[in-house]
Amino acid sequence: MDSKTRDTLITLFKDKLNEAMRFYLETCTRCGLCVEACHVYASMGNVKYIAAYRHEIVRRIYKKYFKGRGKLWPSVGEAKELTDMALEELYEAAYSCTGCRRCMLYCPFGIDTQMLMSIAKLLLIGASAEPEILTMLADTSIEKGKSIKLFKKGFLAGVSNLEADVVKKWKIKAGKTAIPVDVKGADLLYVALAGAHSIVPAAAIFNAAGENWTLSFFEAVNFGAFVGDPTKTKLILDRIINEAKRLKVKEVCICECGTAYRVMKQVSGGQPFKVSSITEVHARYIREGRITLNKSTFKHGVTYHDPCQIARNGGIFDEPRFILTHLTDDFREMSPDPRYNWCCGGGGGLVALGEDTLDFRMKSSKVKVDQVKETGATILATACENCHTQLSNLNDHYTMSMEVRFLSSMVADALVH
Amino acid sequence: MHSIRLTYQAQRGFLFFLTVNQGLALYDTFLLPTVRKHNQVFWIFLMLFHICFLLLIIGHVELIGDFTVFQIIPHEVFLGRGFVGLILSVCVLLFLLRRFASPIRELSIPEDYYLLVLLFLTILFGSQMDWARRWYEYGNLSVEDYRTYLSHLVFLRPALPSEITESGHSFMLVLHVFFANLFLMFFPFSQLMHSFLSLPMNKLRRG
Repeated sequence: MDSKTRDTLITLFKDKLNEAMRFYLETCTRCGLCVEACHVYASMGNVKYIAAYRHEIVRRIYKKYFKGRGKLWPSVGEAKELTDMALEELYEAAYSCTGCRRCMLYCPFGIDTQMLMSIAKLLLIGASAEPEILTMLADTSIEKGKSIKLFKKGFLAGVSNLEADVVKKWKIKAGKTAIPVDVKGADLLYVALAGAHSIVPAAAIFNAAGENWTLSFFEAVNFGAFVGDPTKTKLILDRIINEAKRLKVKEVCICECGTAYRVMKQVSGGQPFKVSSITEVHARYIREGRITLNKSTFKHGVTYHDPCQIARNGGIFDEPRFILTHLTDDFREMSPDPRYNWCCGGGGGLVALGEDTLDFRMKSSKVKVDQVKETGATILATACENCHTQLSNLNDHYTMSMEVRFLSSMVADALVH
Repeated sequence: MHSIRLTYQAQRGFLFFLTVNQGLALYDTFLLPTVRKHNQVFWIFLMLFHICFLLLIIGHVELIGDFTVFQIIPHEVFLGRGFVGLILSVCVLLFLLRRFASPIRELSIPEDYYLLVLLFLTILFGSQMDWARRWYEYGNLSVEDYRTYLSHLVFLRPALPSEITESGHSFMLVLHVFFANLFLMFFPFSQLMHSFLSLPMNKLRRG
């Protein structure tokens, strides 16, 4: 690594150092409490996957370039120079961490491993050593926001193709549109993913509840957050914020995508609209009696996987369980305390990297498979695209012979006319 | 139905003049609930360690000056006839041995060992000194002598009261002060800063 690259990287590191980050970097006492926290360590048993070990990889560089002791007496804190080898270590730490923050429940100080890994991810971007595909996907999203006119026609044609499927699930009154798009003054803006599975069931439920809603032009997923690029994350997010402001909606509802929900909820700042996940909206419809569900639709055991970004990091635990009690009599909890549910192993961009990470994803999620198997359920419900893909892969790889379902599609199937 | 928020609410209560999150942050900082939940034996030793450490700090305040607040109870009481130090050294020894077992061994860095060894030696000589003073009646050392010795070290004006050198346990005292000084010098540059940062960090987690 030449000195110019190194200087750039150190500037990038410096930009990340806010008060919280300095706390996280200074405080770890390496007490080892987080040993049990990480699903990767629990499944694979390699010390480099312990949360504190991951921190230390970033911390060594911090000590070297930002601390006097790292210069005077580097060996005592194992301060380390930023080299190509250090970058490799950073890559391995950052892209084996799914950002599930289970370790935050163990740490006596609440050190946020995901935040420290975001430094690692930013350094990798600075050195052009990040997974290219994630950057490419992020750039495509940003491009789409800039030139919406080019995409508009194709998007509308695609949506109208889906309308017949929506009507099949829930009949609407004549003259109404099954999937309204670009409606000014709508109450709710639904931000979906590019895929029928994310639009059709949700649309049927909105229509059943008589919601005044509109579908967003943009897909919810934020690849900028996966690759850890704050600028791109913001640009991708702004597309949706601007659309919501233009349409003057009261509520932005994020589809079953964990990252999209967390970023929208926690990064968007104060906005004139409310942010909710589709799970919250469905629970509200049931509570208000706007939709009724047939409780005998799912007869065999159902278990629910809490997506980390929605549950542990977004605080939504009660709503999915409330919905499930209206879907089945046989709901089985995976962990006595849902905050401690294992991560599926697909977060942090690992699923988006596809086949490249498949082997690692399967090996690192052994504990999750055991946890699911223990319930003896036949249906595995979840509310996140990433989790769904990962759990489906696990289902095939470990021949669990379960049915992996989206919670929203289960609600759509159980709608009572 | 399962409710996470309720389990949290049950833990608050007595500190009505604080917001709930401030109260919870204090609870997290001083009672270490995450440790208690995941490793109870470790939690007992951690609590013992920190309580004893606090007692000894209060017991040492008179070496700096007279503070009426701390003198309601005599300083001697906080030193617990050397037994507070004994408990503390057992805890430190345990923490040190813990670091030699995998996987905490792989997590540890030299700083962690240095600090624990320094602390162990400081406490060892401190407690020994306390016993020596009482058992062999080396009682001729007064608080004033200690105070003179320490303040001269701190202000870099070396002076050695004759009582210090003549006393039978002077080598213990000198070593105790020496290791304690090394420990204090290392303090602001090490993970020991967790003692000040723990509260703001737990406040950050609680929001």
